[in-house]
Amino acid sequence: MSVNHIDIDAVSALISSLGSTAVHPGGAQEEDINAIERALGLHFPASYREFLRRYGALSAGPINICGLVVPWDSVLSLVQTLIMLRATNPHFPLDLMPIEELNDGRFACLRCSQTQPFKEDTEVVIWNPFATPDEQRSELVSPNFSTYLYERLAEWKYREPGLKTMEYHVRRFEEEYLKLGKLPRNHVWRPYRFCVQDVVIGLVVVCHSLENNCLEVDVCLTSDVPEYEPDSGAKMTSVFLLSEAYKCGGTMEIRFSEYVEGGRVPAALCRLARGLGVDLNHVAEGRITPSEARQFYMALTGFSPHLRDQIVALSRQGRLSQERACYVVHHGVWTRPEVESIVFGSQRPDSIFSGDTLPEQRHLYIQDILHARAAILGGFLDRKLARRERVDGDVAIDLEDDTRRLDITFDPGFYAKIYQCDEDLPVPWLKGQSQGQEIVPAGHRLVALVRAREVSDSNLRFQRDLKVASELVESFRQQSLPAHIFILTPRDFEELPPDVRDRLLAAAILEGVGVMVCPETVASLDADASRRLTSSRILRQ
Amino acid sequence: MITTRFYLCALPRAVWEQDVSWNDHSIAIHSFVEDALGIERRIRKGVNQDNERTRYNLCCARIEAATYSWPMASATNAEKFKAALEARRLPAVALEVGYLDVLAPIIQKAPVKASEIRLGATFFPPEMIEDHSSAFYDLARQLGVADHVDLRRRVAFFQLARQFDCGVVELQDAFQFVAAGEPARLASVQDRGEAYQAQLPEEEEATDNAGRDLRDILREQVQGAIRAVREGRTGAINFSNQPHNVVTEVLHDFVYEDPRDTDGPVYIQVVYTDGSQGEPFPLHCLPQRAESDLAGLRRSQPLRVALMSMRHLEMDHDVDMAWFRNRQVSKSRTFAETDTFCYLQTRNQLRETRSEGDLRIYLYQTGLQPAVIGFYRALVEELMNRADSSPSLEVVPYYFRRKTGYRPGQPWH
Repeated sequence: MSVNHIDIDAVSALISSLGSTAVHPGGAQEEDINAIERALGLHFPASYREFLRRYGALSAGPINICGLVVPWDSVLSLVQTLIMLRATNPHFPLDLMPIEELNDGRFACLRCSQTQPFKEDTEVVIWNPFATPDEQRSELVSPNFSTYLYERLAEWKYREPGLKTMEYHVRRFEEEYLKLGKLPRNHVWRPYRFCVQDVVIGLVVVCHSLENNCLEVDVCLTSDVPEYEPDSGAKMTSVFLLSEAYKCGGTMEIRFSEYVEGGRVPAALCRLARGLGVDLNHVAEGRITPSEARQFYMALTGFSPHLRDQIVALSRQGRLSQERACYVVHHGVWTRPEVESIVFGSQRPDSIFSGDTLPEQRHLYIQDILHARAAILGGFLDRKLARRERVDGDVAIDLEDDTRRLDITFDPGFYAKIYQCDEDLPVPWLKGQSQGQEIVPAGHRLVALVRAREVSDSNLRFQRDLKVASELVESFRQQSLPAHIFILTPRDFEELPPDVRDRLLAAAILEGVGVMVCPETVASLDADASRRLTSSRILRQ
Repeated sequence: MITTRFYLCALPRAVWEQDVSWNDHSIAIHSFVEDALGIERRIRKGVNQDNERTRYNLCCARIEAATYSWPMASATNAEKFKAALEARRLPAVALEVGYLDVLAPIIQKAPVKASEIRLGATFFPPEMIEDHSSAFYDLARQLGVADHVDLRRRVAFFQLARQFDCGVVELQDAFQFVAAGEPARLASVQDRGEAYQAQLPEEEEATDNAGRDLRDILREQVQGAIRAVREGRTGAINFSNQPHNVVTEVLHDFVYEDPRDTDGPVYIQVVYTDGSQGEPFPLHCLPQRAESDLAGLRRSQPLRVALMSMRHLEMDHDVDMAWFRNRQVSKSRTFAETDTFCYLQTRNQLRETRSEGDLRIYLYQTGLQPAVIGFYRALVEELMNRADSSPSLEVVPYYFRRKTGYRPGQPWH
């Protein structure tokens, strides 16, 4: 059994500590439990059977755990809930048994055995009745029932004291810092509140522990708002804690005080980590270790598997810090696809992400600037392709978050970005094409060789770039992969003498290669690159 | 595979001390070298580092560009080195692709020493060669990399440079596609030099403007840029270092249709000293207006406007408003971004005035060139828009002169 699994006795102790706020009808008889199992065609796991024997069902604040010994039409009735779900959702899996309806309408379900009785540890997963069968993911929330119940109850029990601790810190912070117009140092308790419009999704109080060189957390409360993506509060809070742990310069270890769920790692963070496949092995001690923190940070950042592998490999060689790669994404310095270009394309990704190289070390600085420039140019194309441009008559309609879902990868051999989309993709900034706009059909690849060259370099290297592009055309043709190949350049290309430019464009058309000219110039890309390097340098305190 | 090549070029002492012309090529790097070394000293003092670093980049880029443009000859030993100099070519060697791989760890492992000997810099004047070369060799030996092929080649080249009283410029040619294992060769950097020359013909011209009127100089530059554009080349003007009144008056000289130049409007490129590039400026695009056409417009009451707030408070009692808010314009961004901001602000404000009848502006100018360029670019576009109707917009710039106070410039309509 994992060190973080909680047995039913610990749950019982917690239920007792809740006093009269935890209401239950009393234990069910063994023969009744067996009869229900037979009727439903399921075998309950041991911890849930024990729960039924001790409490029957449970209601504590917003938590309603389904069970037996309750009226048939009660929200706590296991049989009623299961029958309703099976009747209204033909795709509801037969091995799932609902134990709680969550406040966003989804159900926490126990995975039960249909054949073997009393299976020791079966997991608790989330089932979403609003998702189509294709969208349905069985999202792991807990390794077993008792852990699920313990975490739910602990979250609720410590919410009120957590809010009081928050209030205390806010009052103190106002007196000692806000009213005096002072900025706090990292080792001072600092309260933060995360909101979306007027909805609070997370509250934390943190400080950098000088003694232990880690981040200490005195308050960590999250809320799950049904209107937002599930676990938004937990994600936001986790990303903040991990980024703060990095920013403060400690070891990445995070320690939770006794005011956070009795000194445990908060349940919401544990659930999130589990869902991302990250094992937190020191939950009861209230610690996330540095290596766990790195894994968690990487998983939360959402790098593609091959990028994650590359970052880990470079990290093992001492050439890139995992947490720095995550931090630059969460701090908005680089996007994930830009990070991918830099990690695969540059010899010195860590130097770009840290911005440590100064212009006086010009050889190294030029390298950083050039790869940063190329990543930024690629980033412009990412955003241009992702954005849907809708027009109503002559009026362009601008809708928030109206973006295409793009799969973006980077091929370091060709220094090319490869885009795939499940809808048709209009090709922007095309030069030298005869008429109309080129569309890359859904499922086809759009391959852009990123060539962030200034005008003299374009003149000199375009033919060679074209040769590389035609090799790429041939390579895709041989693999029978439908692909459309382009060379992506900055606006400096337009400054080539018209006869040279026309000759190069004509050569490109002959090779079946398009030329995309981004409206940004090398000068503006370099200014942006320089700004990003500078902000990376001063991000960490 | 994509890779980066490095080339070491030796430049004789004379080049580091004055402008030199060899075989019809002129090379002028000594002032940039002086500037860059001064900047390095100021950076070490920690003064205004961001600006200094931007200028440092520009200086180094100019030194490298000038070196690229010079004919080179491979010089791996003393005979070849001497022969290259006698043929008035720069002795040079190419390094293999691993130079950066070995340079970065040296700087990382011995940052203080590396900084002391300027390791990572791209130029080394003759007087620095001996000290740098021996300190570099010692450092490489201490770190156990002295046998690296590129470092040996570099040390040997620096010794030759010392022997022939030369300084060294190191060139980096990045983003080359080469076959794996293809050896470094000098020819590719020579190609690049030719491309540079093709790109920057005007910049490479030696000019002597001492004692000439600034307005004449800028007029000539604009004429040159117009000529270049008409010939299908890039015509760019750097307005950063010109007084704002000179910029305004010279642009005015060229903004109207020229009966001698019937090729229509022309757009010249605007560049600034921070390396940023503004949107092109339209010239030869406004119709000439007869004085009689302007009589109606000139009967309207002028609006007195300061170009920017909080710049010259003493003019506040003379003006009705400020066109730009200083705090919005004077932000830390590139000159081109400031130019764009001012252009968009002006464009929008002038569009709003279309429905309000005639407008005459007395513009009390202050000297931020990107703001001036942005304002007048938007004004010219607005006047082009109104070209087919009777005159309804006029801007008269006012410039401050120490003895006479504000005096009007030529009106734009």
